[in-house]
Amino acid sequence: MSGDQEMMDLFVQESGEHIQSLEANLILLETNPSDSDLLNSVFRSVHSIKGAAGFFGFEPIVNLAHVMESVMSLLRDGEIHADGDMMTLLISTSDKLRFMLEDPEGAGKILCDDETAGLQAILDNRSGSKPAPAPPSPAKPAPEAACGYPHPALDGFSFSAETLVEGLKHGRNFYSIHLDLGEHAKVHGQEAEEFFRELRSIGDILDTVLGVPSEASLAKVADFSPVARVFFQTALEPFILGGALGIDGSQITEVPSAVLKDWAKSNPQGACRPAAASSEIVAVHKSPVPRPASAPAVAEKPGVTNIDPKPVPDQRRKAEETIRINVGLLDILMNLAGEMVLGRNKLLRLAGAGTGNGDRDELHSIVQEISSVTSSLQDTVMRARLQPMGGLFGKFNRIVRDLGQKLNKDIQLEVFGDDVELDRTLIEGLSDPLTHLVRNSIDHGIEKAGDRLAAGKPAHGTVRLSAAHLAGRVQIEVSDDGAGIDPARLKAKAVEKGMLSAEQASRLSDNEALNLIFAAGFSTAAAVSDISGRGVGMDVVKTNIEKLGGHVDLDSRVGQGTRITIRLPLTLAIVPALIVGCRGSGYALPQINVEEIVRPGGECPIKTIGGARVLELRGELIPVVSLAEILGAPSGGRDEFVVLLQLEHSIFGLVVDEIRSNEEIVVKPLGRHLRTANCYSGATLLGQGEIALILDPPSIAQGRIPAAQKALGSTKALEVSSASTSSRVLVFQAGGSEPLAVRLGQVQRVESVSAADIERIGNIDCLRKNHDSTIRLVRFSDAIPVGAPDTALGEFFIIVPRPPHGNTGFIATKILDSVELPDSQIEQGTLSSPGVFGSAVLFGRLTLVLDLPAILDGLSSTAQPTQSLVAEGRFLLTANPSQNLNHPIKQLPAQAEPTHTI
Amino acid sequence: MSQLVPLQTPGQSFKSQLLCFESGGQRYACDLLWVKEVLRSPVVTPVRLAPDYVRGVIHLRGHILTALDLEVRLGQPQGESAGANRCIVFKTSADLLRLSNPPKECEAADSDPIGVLVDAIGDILPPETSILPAPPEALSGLDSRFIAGVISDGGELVMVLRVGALVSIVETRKSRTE
Repeated sequence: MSGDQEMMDLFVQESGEHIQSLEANLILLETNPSDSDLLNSVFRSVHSIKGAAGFFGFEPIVNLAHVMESVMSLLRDGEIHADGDMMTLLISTSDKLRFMLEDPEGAGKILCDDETAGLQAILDNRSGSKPAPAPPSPAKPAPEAACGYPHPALDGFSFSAETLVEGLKHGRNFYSIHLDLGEHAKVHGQEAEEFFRELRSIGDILDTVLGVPSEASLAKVADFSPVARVFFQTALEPFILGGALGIDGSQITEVPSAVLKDWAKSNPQGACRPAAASSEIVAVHKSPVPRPASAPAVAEKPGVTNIDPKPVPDQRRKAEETIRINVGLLDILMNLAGEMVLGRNKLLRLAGAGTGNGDRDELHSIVQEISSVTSSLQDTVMRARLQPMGGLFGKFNRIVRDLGQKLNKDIQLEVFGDDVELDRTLIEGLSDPLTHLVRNSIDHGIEKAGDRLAAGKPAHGTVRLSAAHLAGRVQIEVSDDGAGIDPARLKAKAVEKGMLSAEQASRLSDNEALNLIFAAGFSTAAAVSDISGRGVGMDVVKTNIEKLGGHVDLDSRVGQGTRITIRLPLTLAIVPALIVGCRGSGYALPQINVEEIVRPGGECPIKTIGGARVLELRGELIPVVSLAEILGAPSGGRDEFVVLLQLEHSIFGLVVDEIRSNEEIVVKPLGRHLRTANCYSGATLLGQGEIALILDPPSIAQGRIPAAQKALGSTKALEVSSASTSSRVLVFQAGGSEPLAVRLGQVQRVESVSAADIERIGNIDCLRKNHDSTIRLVRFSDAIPVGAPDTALGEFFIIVPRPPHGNTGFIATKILDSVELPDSQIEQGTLSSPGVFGSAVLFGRLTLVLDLPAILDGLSSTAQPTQSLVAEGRFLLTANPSQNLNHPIKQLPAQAEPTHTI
Repeated sequence: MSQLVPLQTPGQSFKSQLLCFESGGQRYACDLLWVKEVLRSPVVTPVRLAPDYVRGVIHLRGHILTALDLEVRLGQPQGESAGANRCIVFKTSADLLRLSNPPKECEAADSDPIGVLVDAIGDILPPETSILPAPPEALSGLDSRFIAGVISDGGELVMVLRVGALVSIVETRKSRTE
């Protein structure tokens, strides 16, 4: 019995795959109704489902699949042509099949009468009224067939520009071969079938037209000899081709590539088809340039069977050899590979130490070899867990089509990077957020066709999904060319909902206003539709993405469209973490919770209020707990740093002894005996194999941070972005003597670097890092009129902006201080320019207040065309907020900034 | 399996090989089938807030091994931790699944590695060693849930441990249900 169940599982699984490809291909077919590859593939899918279901005796599935198969076979043979209604019918049939396959036993309960009847009607219609097989249908393919033939020798062939471009790209020559098959058989003793096989062996047949010579009158139909005209592409030169095929050169007409190239260029979407398509064979005139009116379907004639008119391989569906593997097995493999890496490290150390005898060189080379093999082994195993994005992106064809129809909007989906690979669990976790974003784009983003035309845009809207690898992460974008989001409307909405006061709202910058969309309970849709607009949208998207260790950004221009950028780690198993030290032991804090690291004292002292300790920071009181106390470790540590940890609705500080490093850690589970200690979420191995326990910030806060303080934190959390009456600015010098300032809100971190770490690539200075990303260095003097730094710097600072600009570092020569600067003191008139907010008087000197993102925008639009592939040049490589920070604070001079954002 | 094996009751014999070891001056033994390997001089990272019988965690080739303190687990005061230079690693549930003839109480195994810290490893005793009932808890001071019985090896008494109970999450003392 278990064998049966196994077979059954296999059936459900396989049919599921067929149904998926069926659906995807049907959608593609809708835009390209005569693509024979697609038709074939759809036919095959239906056929496989029918066959497998028949094996198990699922009658309802078999019946439905059978009618569909019959219709598909007519479509495939070109006897009927699909119009919009038929496609809708076929898609809904595939839906019904999917429902049935989800529960094959209960397939009978699913009503599919409409579909069956509709498909049967198509079949009946065809067989009943044969003389007029498809009078209305040729209208459908007409729009794309509307271009003339590029060359007289090609009259009567059907082909598309796409196939020509492919051949032209490979430098093929194109020929029209005119051959009397009967005579050819007589002279060379070669049957037509064999001749075509030979043709295919030296090139690709683009199309074949068969005709009956005019001499073959009706009386002599029995022994007529068919004339074949073949549109053929090959790499062979004309004089070789004749010899290779054993036919006379006069039967071959070369079609000049230049002509075809011009034609394909001017009609990129074009396709040629015989003027009148009919399944009747009509006699052709025996003239120098015959004008056959026969359809490709003549290939069915005896003697020339099985000629595939377009054997152009479709690379997308290239069947790669795959097997199914249990994910658990992959995890074990991954672990083993990790073990090998650690073993390798020990071996390397040993080989490096060396005993000084003669074997050392040999040992060294062996260790090197093992080392490189181990690295690639780990890499390969890691990749085995990855899946291409294509599978996930594929389903959006359907969503876009359905929603577009429902909302009566003409929407085109563009997909880029569907071969980018991502961890399986991440792909699963992305499905919902992406669906939501795409829906939003269609529902709210893209305007109605009328409005679009009025705005001077093409009537059809475009939604674009793209995925790309950037700096060891994956960046996914959902963008549309719709109406964009109006920051003013968002502000008004926020005020209306009582989330902000009118006064607060008026002070938000456009970018801050756009970020309001991620706040809970916020929906901008004027009316709640059944598609979106209930206000549980973007905040859920944000939470879900952050759960996956990702980051969401939104960028929108009114009237131009919206772009949402998601950045994800390649795999879930690796988490960026901050390693802190407490009483000599190392602990890992998930970077996603780390908001800021503060060295208490001076401006931000730790105070005691009624037994609770709080940190006074920028006018806020933040509850503080000591890691040593929580862990019951002995007192007497240094308690030097406070790590501010952001939880969902609160923020608190954790006192630790030291900040050790930032690492990408692999999370390992703890044994069950240790799960009673719920302040740990796991453990990880650091570089030399030592263990660091991973702290779980929510559990640490649990019961220790009073609820009242949590509430205080939550109101603060919103204000962090909105309270901009005054903001803290970092004051520094960048070469010249003039002080410059930048808002701390724009700064991710400040690092001290030495000139020795700089490498120059082309005209770009890069900071080589020990992690897998590099930082591009920018001088303020390149963008705004300030003094340039001395090139012979020994030590200097870099100011790294917040993501998405985190891979850029601005060079500063001296960090002066950080001060609170009320907005009202920033004078925006005199010195304002792109990249400069304005000026203010700080410490008695006129100081420029800079806008880092604006500076980068200005730079990247001119200087970095290569990086614009995905993001139109606005974003440089992505930033990983966790990386590149080894000893964040120790290297800062003491008088400088006591607070320090991460 | 087909051979006639007497019921595994104390006072009979132990059907598989036993690994002897020493901890805190006392000799112990456990079913060899449970043992995956023995680590020499393991580096134990202490874990704060962990149960008292957990000495810490050990890095075992990419896995995190929970290292138990045998004495505390058996209900005795913590011994001198100066020794403990061996760690007996027990098989995980995945390891045991591969055995055609798994040891007793193998369902108690965890999916993450676990081991006990001991002072020294001794001999391996042959199968069918005759085994005596454990002394009453009141006399030995050892939590009898973890003791399968006692064997006499060369005139010395060896406590035979029930590894299944050791590695499972039963509370120490008090909450006894047996």
